[in-house]
Amino acid sequence: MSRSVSRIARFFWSTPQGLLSIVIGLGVVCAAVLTRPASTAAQGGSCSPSFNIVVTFDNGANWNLCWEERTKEGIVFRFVTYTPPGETARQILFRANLAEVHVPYDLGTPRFFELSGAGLGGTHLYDLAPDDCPNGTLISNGVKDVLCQTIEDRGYAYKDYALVAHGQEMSLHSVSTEGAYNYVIGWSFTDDGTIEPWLGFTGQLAVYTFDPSYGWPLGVGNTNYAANHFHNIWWRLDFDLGTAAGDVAEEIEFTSPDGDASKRVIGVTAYTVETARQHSPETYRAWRVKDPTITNADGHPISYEIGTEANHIFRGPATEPWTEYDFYVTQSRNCERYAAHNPPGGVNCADNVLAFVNGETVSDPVVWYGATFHHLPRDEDEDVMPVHHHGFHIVPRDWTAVNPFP
Amino acid sequence: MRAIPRISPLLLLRLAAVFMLLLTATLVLAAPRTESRPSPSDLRIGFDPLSPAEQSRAQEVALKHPAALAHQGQSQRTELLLVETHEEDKAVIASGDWPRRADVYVYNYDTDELLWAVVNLPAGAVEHVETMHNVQLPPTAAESARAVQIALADATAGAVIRDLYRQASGRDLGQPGQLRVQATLFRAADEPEVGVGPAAACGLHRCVYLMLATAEGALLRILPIVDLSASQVVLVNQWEGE
Repeated sequence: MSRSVSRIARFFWSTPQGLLSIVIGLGVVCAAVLTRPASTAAQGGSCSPSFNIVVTFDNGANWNLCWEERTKEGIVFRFVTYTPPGETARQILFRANLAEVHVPYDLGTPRFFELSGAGLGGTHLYDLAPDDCPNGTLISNGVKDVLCQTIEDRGYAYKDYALVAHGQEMSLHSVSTEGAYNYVIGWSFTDDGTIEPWLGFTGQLAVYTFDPSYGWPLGVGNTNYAANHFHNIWWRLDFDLGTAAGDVAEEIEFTSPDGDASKRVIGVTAYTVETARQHSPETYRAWRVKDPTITNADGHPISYEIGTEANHIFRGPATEPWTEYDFYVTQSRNCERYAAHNPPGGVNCADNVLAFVNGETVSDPVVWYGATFHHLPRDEDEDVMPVHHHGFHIVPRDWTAVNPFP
Repeated sequence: MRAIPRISPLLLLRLAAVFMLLLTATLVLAAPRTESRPSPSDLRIGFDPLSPAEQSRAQEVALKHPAALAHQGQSQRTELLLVETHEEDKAVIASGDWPRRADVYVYNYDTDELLWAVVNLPAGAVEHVETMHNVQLPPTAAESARAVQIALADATAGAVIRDLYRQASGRDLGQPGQLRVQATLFRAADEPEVGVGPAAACGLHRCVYLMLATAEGALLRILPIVDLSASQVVLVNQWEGE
């Protein structure tokens, strides 16, 4: 053993071939270190390393994004870029954030607007403690730890007989206090390119009533009713696949031809102008944003898809016209930022997302996705409410020619 | 004349190998680590949120602008509501280079006018300014505290809050600081059946719902609406008797 080690040492130290291989080998290492992309550099100098999140999973997939805290929206993500294993890095979202959390009570009042009325950021944003982020990393905004980043196993990526792979996902969450509630606001980014925005509702119930028509009895007996209410969550997704140019929004749905329920025919409609639509689980309605100018190796345009994951639907009074629809596509405009109570300023800058839909041609689509949860309180919700989660998925469609997993 | 000592090629190669070893070690050790996250400094770029120094600078530049002085007028009742990064247009961002700019918002309770100033930070100049009515931003911590003072000073609402506090905690309410407070905007247009009487002005006026709890978190079953412009409670809104 020791003889073979000394023979190797002699080769590398005493022969020209050995020494030359050391010099060339280390030269290659130096070149690799010097030329590797700076992993913390965001695109186009759009954010500094403190506000740039980069993660590379075990299979080589990579996410790169910038984040900012804003008073109303809470955490805003920008330049969300995904690199499938061994493939090209491409931007998906220019900007992604919550655009309102509307909480109307069945009593008719109160009707809270958590984002435009109180704000999810600023003093509402928790300074997270290590207990908020076990097995994760706390990320500071310079004043307090506002984000928790975790990278976790997500179970099977696939299985086909002996062919098995497990996947990973990165989650980023912040927590905002809104009245008696605590909102856990999260975004998960998986190694297969899926994005899942989600909200966890916890804390304490905020409103009680003595009218049994509008609540569920909590506490001893049947005198004190926790008020039933909705959480109408709106996300705003400004897609820029690759760049802002060339993106098209489409609706995909299925109908039975001539009433023949044994068949389903696919229909695809491009939105050339701004559009407001409702969820339609019966026709499997889904939407995608595609860029026909960028194709995968199969020659298919790259896209990201959003399916209908609605279980509850909310249609409000005339004072809440935007609740007539669940899904909007609007032309990207800087001043159209909130689903409701959008501050006016500038040309065509209207009050709410329904009013943003005013016949403009869509060349750079922004998607507004609404999800509703009707909360019927239960005894278990007192005193501290178990977390209930709600969200949806933004999934690659033809981003790569085959399953990107190695 | 001294003879130049002859260096063997093997020695040269050995020297080169040692040099490369040292160079590699230096480069690898000095390379940035993805896991070591630098702490946010005052040096901010692009979409980074404003640093505390940038916020102070933006406020200072905005408040001495003639439009801000006119907005203030003779009023002693103005409030700095918000200073944050200006949201630039996409075309500006696509250019890859843009100056750091801040939005500064100031409210005048006497005129119910909101002032919005866009400050170019490197230039130290106000580049856009406008005033508007009926636009309300989320309440600040100072406004929440003031709304509680107004509610406690109100004969009806104050008595109910003290009574509910005593029931919930077994103690008398001494200081407003003993209450856990959350304030959120109230606009009459959002709830036409609630926004009647003195509450009808809410929206044009700056009004908040007050959610109150004991420091331990026991909710007080009242949701008063306070008009910060008129400095009065416009709805006591106790849940008993509904």
